[in-house]
Amino acid sequence: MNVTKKYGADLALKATALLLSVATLAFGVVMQTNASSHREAPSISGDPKADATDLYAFVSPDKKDTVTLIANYLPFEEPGGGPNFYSFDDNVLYEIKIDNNGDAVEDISYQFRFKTKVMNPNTFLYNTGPITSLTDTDYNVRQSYTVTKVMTSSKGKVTSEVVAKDVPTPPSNVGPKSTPDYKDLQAAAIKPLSTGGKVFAGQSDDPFFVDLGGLFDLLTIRKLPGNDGGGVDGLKGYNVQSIAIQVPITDVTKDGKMPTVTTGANAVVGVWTTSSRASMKVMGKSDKKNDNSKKWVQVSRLGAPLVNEVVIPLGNKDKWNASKPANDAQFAEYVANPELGGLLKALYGIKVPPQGAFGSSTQRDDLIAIFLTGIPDLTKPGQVKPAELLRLNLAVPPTASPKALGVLAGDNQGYPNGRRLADDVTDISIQAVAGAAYPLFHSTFTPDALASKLGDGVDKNDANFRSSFPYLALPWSGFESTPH
Amino acid sequence: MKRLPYYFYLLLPLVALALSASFVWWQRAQIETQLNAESSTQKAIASLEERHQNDPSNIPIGIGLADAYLQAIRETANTALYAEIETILDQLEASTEDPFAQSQIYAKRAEVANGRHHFRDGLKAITEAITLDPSIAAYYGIKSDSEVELGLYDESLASVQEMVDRKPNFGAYARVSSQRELRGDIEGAIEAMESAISAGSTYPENMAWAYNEKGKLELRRDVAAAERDFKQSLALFPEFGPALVGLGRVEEQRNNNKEAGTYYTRAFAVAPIAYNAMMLGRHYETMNDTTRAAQYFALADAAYKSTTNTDVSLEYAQFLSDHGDPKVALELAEKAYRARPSIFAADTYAWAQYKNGNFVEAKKYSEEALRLGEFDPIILAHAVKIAEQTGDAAAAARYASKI
Repeated sequence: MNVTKKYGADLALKATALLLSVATLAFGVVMQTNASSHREAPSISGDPKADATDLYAFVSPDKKDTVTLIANYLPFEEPGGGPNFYSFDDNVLYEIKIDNNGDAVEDISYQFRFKTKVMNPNTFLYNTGPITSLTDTDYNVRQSYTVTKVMTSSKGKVTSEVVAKDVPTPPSNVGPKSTPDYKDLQAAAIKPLSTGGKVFAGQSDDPFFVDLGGLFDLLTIRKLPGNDGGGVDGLKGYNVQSIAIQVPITDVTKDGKMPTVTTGANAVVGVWTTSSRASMKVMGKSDKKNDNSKKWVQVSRLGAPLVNEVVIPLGNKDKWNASKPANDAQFAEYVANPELGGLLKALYGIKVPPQGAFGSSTQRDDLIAIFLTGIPDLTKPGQVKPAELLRLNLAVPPTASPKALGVLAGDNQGYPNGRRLADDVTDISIQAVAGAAYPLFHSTFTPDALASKLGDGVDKNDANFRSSFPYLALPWSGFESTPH
Repeated sequence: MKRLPYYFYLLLPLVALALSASFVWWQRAQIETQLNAESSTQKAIASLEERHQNDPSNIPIGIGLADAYLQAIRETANTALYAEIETILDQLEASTEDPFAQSQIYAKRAEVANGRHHFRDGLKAITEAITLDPSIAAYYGIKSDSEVELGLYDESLASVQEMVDRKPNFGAYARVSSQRELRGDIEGAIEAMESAISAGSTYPENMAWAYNEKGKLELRRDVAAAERDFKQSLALFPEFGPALVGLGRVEEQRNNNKEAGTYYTRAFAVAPIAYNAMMLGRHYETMNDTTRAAQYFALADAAYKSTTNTDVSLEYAQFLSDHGDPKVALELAEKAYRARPSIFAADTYAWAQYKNGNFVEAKKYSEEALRLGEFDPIILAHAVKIAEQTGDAAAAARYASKI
């Protein structure tokens, strides 16, 4: 046997390995083996479909005996985000909750459960042709939902009633070929409730407008003081998933009557939205169809804007999102002595009001009122347990000329009395922390001259709101939009 | 096996050099392509790197950058980024005494350790993180990742239960799926992975990964469903390597070996990693193309040897048992088994013992590999051979019936 041939294979393979090593080192890149265990799941996936972005609550401007509640989920929807596009999650319990007696416990909850149906499972296409109606056979991945009104009596007795069933959602706004007449598709998805009122769930333009880049980059105001433009709307061109419901005001007040005076015992309600996911036994059979057997775990919670993002420290996010308003005393410290106040002072030299620990003489009782207890004679119920809710006085009628700065601008129908779509809650919140409302509680205090001028430089939404339910602007089309 | 002409061996180094240069280029291009395609990850990295440079002690920015790098490693297999993450964590650690911040740093260290396959270090770090802040649901997922690889199955199940009870989401459901699969509940594993998919993720790669995992589960019961999942995975993340391999396996199951080879070639083109080289080698073996099979096995071998950022003793031992020196395989398998005594490490050790003719020892570890149940087809296939060699025909028949 030829010795060279016999050992040639080994030698050559070794030479191969050597050359590979030399080559890869020379190029500065090492050939990789599998980077991680094949079963290793991601740890930073987020939970976009259960992530509440914003909540709105206002007396309907075109139907004054009703209140409109809008909860948005799934932030930063890139309109062109195929192939799956966007939907709610069938495995999430979405709720809009209402406390009508000030005890920070829901008396009424509107629950939304979604169901997805894939018409043709042999394709992964979202639509197989133009979608011209909600029953179009080309509408391949479609979602419907059921709305249940759950009422809890003062004695704790819980009753529930399905107020809308199998309501269709419109598709995502894919583009002119796939969803040629989106306005009609959306209109067809607005349905009545059996108890009066109407409901809509589906994609919309994200109505929030804010300079996210500036706000989260150490509260950078691009063009000081921020009340004359100059900001960059970080949500421009993005969509969200909206749940909108309009119900008679008498359906949500504590006595079932229309409030007539703003100081009436039935005038103020507190609103918040939650999303919950079912836990599951790691081992053991689950009953997929029976909701009652599920152990729901609240994973997101939202009342007033920016509280979760700006007030609650990172380390408490999980705790906050799982918490109930009745236990909000544990977070009062962050409102009474907000980090943001220190930032305004340090970065811009704003003379912010004194602030100190919750319960101390220097606690920010203006902010405690705005975020936790309600503003006296406006959003504070007669008896109130401090809780972070979006409080709305239903007796304040819609104004013909709303002001984006709401109560701070003398428009008592706006934020923080509920929240309308066009309310500039970022400017309001920054100004409030800077002390703009502090004199209401401490008459001798003179706010910094800049306090009522601060803002993020983004003063209105990138799309016009509409004048009738659901008021939201239509979603941006995937074909045409380039977000931000 | 047909002997190859001697000049093949002389040409092999040149071929390897050419291929290796191409792989480097491919890999770089792939990293850039995938990051470009996944603008969310690239954007996050670009923005966070700049902000981190300006403010290196800022905890949320530093942790955010570490997260973005971890995601980039998932997307590109560029494990050199682990060192970058460690540098960031060192900077952050020196700048804070805040318990929550420290817990985050420990958690990221645990993820890096797990990524490097240093699971004992990972478990130690994540335990520290949980001690500092037991309220963060994601920490229990990282803990379970370490525990699974260390063979601590009861503990890992408890950790996943803790995670899903605290915060059910994509990561929690995916881990439930994994736990169920480990214990043979394929239907339950698919159901949990469907919940993960339904929950969704911010990152397209995560979704592609989930569809791919579901496809792998479906392969055991419904090839057509598996194919749909792999294709969905590719639709979400173009040229996602594991899904290409999945489609290759689908075609193999249909005896379409030529088409299978096309997918394996594509997988190797986008991710020239050892595993993909090995799959191509096996494919050419099936096609009786021993020349190419040898080339790709040689490449896989070289890739394993040159891996420096991750401990691949287990994976290399698995490879060598079938395609290399059994003695080296046994050494590596023992090392891996001591470091991470999972059922898969026990199986690898058993198979290496078998390949070295140590059948009694092989049986011992084979039985250990089956301690969660007789479910996994590869473990069972090895167990059949080992049982046959030890004269236990009944066990061999039972194992064979369960594959």
